[in-house]
Amino acid sequence: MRLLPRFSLLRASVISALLVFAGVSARAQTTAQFPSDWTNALGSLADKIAAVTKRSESLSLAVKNMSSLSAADVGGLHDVLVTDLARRNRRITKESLADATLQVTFSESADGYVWIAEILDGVKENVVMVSVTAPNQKTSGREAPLTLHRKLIWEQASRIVDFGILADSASDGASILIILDAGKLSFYKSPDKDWKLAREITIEHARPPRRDIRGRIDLQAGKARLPDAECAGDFRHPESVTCTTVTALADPEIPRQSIAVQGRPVEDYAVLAPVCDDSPLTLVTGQGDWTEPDSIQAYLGGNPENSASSKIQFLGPVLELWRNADGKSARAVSRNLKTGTYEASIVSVSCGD
Amino acid sequence: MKLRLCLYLAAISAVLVAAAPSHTAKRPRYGGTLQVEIGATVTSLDPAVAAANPEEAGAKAELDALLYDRRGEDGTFAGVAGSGAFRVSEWEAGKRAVLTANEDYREGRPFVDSVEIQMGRSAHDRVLDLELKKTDFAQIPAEQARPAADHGVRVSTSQPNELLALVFLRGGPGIEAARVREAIARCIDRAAIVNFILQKEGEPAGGLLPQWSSGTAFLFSTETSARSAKEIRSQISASPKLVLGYDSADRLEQSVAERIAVNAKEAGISLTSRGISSPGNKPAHGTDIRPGEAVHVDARLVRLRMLSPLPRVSLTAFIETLGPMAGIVDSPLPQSASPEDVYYCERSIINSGLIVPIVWMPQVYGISARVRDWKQPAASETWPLAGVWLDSSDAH
Amino acid sequence: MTFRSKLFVNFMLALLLSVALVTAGVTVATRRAFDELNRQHTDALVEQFQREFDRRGHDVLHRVQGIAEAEPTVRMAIDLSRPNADISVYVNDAHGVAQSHQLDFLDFVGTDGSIISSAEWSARFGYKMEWVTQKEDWASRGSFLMRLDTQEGPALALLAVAAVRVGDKDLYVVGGERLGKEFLASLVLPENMRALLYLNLDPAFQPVNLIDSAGSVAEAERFEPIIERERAHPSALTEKINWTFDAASAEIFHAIPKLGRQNELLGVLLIGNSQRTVVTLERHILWLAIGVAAIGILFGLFLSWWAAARVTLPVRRLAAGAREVSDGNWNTRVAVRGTDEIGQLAQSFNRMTQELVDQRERLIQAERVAAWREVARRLAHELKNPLFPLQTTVENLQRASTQNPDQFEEVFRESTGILLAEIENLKIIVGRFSDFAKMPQPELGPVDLNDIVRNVVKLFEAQFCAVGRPPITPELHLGENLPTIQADTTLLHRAIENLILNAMDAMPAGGILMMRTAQNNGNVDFEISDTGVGLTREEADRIFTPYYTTKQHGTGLGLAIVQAIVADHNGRITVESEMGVGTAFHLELPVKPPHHPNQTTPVVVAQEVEKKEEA
Repeated sequence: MRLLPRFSLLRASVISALLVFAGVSARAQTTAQFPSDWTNALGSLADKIAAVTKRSESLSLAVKNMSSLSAADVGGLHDVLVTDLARRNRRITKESLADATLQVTFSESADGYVWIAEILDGVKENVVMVSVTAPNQKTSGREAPLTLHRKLIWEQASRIVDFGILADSASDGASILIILDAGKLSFYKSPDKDWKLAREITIEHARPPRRDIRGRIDLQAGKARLPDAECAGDFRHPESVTCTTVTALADPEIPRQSIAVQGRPVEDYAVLAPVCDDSPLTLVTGQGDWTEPDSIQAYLGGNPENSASSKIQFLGPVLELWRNADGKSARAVSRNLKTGTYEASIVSVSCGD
Repeated sequence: MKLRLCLYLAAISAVLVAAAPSHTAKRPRYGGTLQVEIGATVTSLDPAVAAANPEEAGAKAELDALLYDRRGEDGTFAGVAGSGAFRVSEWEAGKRAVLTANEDYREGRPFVDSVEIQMGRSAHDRVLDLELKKTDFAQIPAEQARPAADHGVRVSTSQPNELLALVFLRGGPGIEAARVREAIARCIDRAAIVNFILQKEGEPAGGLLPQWSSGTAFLFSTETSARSAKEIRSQISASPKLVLGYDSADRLEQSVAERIAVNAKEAGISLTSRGISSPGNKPAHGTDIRPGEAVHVDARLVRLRMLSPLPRVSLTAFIETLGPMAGIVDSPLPQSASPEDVYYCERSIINSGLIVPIVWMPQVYGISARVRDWKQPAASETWPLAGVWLDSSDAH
Repeated sequence: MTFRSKLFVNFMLALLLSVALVTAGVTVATRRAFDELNRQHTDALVEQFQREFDRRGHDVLHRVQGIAEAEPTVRMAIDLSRPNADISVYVNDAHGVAQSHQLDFLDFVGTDGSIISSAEWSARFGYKMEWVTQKEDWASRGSFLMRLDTQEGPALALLAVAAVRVGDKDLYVVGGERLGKEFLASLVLPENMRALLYLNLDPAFQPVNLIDSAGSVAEAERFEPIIERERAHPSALTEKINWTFDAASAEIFHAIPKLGRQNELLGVLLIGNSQRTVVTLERHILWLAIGVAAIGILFGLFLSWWAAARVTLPVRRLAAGAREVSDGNWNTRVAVRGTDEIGQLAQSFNRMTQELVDQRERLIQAERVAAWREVARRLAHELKNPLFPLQTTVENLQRASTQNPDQFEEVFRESTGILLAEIENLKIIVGRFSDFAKMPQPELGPVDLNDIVRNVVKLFEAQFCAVGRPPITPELHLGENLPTIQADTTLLHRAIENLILNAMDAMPAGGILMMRTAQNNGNVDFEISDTGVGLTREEADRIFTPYYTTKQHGTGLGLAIVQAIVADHNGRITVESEMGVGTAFHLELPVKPPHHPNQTTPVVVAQEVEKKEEA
């Protein structure tokens, strides 16, 4: 109490302003961590709650998570909702002092997230809800001596056979993304962050392509091969590339040297140049089949216990894993089982955390 | 450099041999015959020939999905039979079929060379054959998933997408009839049905959509309240005696119906379960109701499978099927796909008391160890047999 | 009734009595034997039931204990003893175990009484079977009856319980068999016996709960009384049920109660003995007896005919002879051969008749002599009366002639008058005597006695109402349809006249004169009675003696003449009298012609009897 007279009114005001600013900042910071549609949805939810409650009504708030949201996310969303309700003059108080009970459930449907608010004032129960789109799952790497990084480059509905990036290779300095799939060879340019289609070459096939179609893009050679087709040209200049049907390939399989793991061959691996030490890194995919989520993990030569990296989780199987030309990264083609799309990612390794 | 690389590879191989678990072959292999067993007997693949019962219709749809290229929005298959991933090479109506891989299938030739389908196998025989490795793929009842898994069968379980509901066929006017329905709805012990009858393969159903689809299923209570059911019963002056019908060929429905009868008995309501034999099926019990037999049935159990994971689509289909059955005139349909519209529509149906969801059940498949790349089909999807392949290292 | 008929009747009676006694005796003995047999069968069946019941109980207990000791059950118990054990995996186990052990009921029950798995009602998992957890040593309890709820309704079960203990938790195995028609079918039943079982599962009697080896029982509601009695007081009972009016349809039921664990009545075993066999046998015996009796009757007829031929014929001959004798034909001989008693009797009869004839001859002679002596006496008496005055008169004449000659003429006139009068008397007396002696033989012919009576009465009508004398009222009671008799009309007329005259003399003050005719066993009776002074006994005995009279006038021959006429007609006349009341004369006149009393040739009855028999 004695402290209080020491603070001048000015100081108190400053502190209050700082607190408000902190709250707003926190809100802003919290809001900033969520997609805009989420915050909009929370606002909409708050509107709906306000519509069925009285202005002076105090509410007790209980939150339940029935979705794939993390606890941290749920906490953040809780704070945003409280703030939104406060803006609408709806006080959150203890249950024993509340006029009505507000039960918010973060649920999830086949379409996305569904956030539901049940308002029970002892007589009537109202239920309001909003829906938002669920984002792709973030990758979270485990702390390990080696850290794998994944960068999603491209995703599309049709299967990506191979892809490659020619950085800053276009005449205008843009990078060129080359996507090879069963039916076409596509060139995308990225003058800014977004890839834009520069050229798309349709690849004709004498017969429907095989179910597990394999192919390779050789950036340096300027070739893209499929079992029964070949595209060649200067990939820096997509307009120069042509694709022809090839019938002479006897073995549609692109041979690959497999390594043995417990007596069984493993074909999907990539050996990268040493990063942390002199030991090459081997990136190996998971043990499941193509109906399961997959992962990529890096091993150093020697004792696996000391050398394993954290796993990069994929939402589906990794279909292709190739070492890039620079030897420092690998390109991975995977399928998102949740969305059904095919994703092209660059996987790289760094030392430490 | 190359030598060093090879040495590293060898070391890594050794490491991975020690570190990695068993089968790791991921790339599909071509070849082999996939052995499939189904319970239904499909007498004809002719689209003009209607299936004799829902089981045959379901099996026929699965076969059509393998034989036809595309499926229209109305569910019918377009194109010529055999334009799909497989073609029929051998056909013994109602007994056996052999489907051979279509080399010219636009999505690529299936990995397996052929699919041999044995028809008319009972659930018990299918599970046994899976245990004995006589078959590669068979759908098994949800309640047998755990026992089968205990016996070494590889089991693939979908999300719960099949609803078992109790539908009051004759709503009946008056408050007392409504109270009777309410008492019955309250006394149903869904947890016991899921835990014991379904052997924990499924979840209690309070609404017409599962939680994973609508996200709002939890808003519909699945609690059992035998006490409140008794209180409601005590307020009913008459002594109602109701008959609950179930498909006599469906053991699960029989078990659930009998359990509901026991629950009702505890609440003081006389509810008798009776099997209804559908045309083409022999009555399983002497007391079963035969086709055409005029017997008063007050309610019956109904199994409905979701046509789509999308809430609105499935709810609309359910309402269009169950509404007329329960005598609901002008059944409300969700106006939009928003969760709120779907929820309120669902809530209005549930509040009528004429349809009582009981449990959600998954589709359970037994798959042999050599079958790889099996992907559990979603609600509207058919068996992805074109995408599986047989691992010869685990040959039978 | 003839001897033959008597013999036949007696034989029949003896036969029927014998048959009846034998039938009754056999029937009673048969019934007793059957009752005893049924009792033995019932006892044996009850014992068999109890043995089977015990055997099944032991078997059930053994099987339940076997299940409890089996490894899967022990593993189940171990698994369920762990915390948070998942009991749902065992929910379907009971069905298979029950089938493999052939049990109708099997429940696995947890330590808290919750049903883990139920074979008979699989949907009851989770519900409590609290009675199982009541502290009881199930190992020593053995098997018991119990009412169990099943999906189809309540059932009666023979149960046993075994407990598997793991730590402080128990897994109870409750198993048993249904007590129903299958159990009854296992019993070996003697013929005409059946076993029923009433399952006392409902608050009130339910006909559907009464079963036999085939299932439901027809007309089960007929058993309600005995069942209700059992329900009220469980004990061994016996009751008879008549299914129809036919006694053979009856069944005797013995009820044995079956009690549960807490002595509640759970079932009633009914053992029925059909009475059809014994009733049918009794009827057979009866019909046999009737048949035997009928045969006996026929045999009796034959026997009687044969007896008649051998035994009764001589007797009949004797009887015919006796009749001949009674008819007056004393000179009858019976032709009977043989030296047996019948022959001896015939010989004696013949001797008797011969003796009778001889005695009759002697009697007739003696009577004749006596009659002549009497007649002589009476005649002497009668003659003496007029002879005395004759003698006196003659003596008077003699005296007069000698002593009073002057009066002789007068005395002569008087004396001649007296002599003539007395001579006249003598002539009358002699005339009557002559008349009596010269009574003609009757000339027989068919005579209607009623006509004679009427004619005679007509003759006396004037005298009945004569002036100066008190009237006499005649009353005729003449029998109708009186048969004609062989008689002499004139003599009968005279006899009736004499009787009427005699009656009139007995009623000087008037009175009633009654005459009656009637038929009487081959005779025609005529009775004439008056209301006169009556006769003393002595007078009645002598009334028919010639010249006996009680009157001042008359010759005393009237009634003697009547007697003679009656005797000539082979009839009989008797008199009854009472002083001051009156006198009645009874005449019996045979209808058939009388035998001539002077016939001396013996009549051999044999031929006549045989002729009659031939006829």
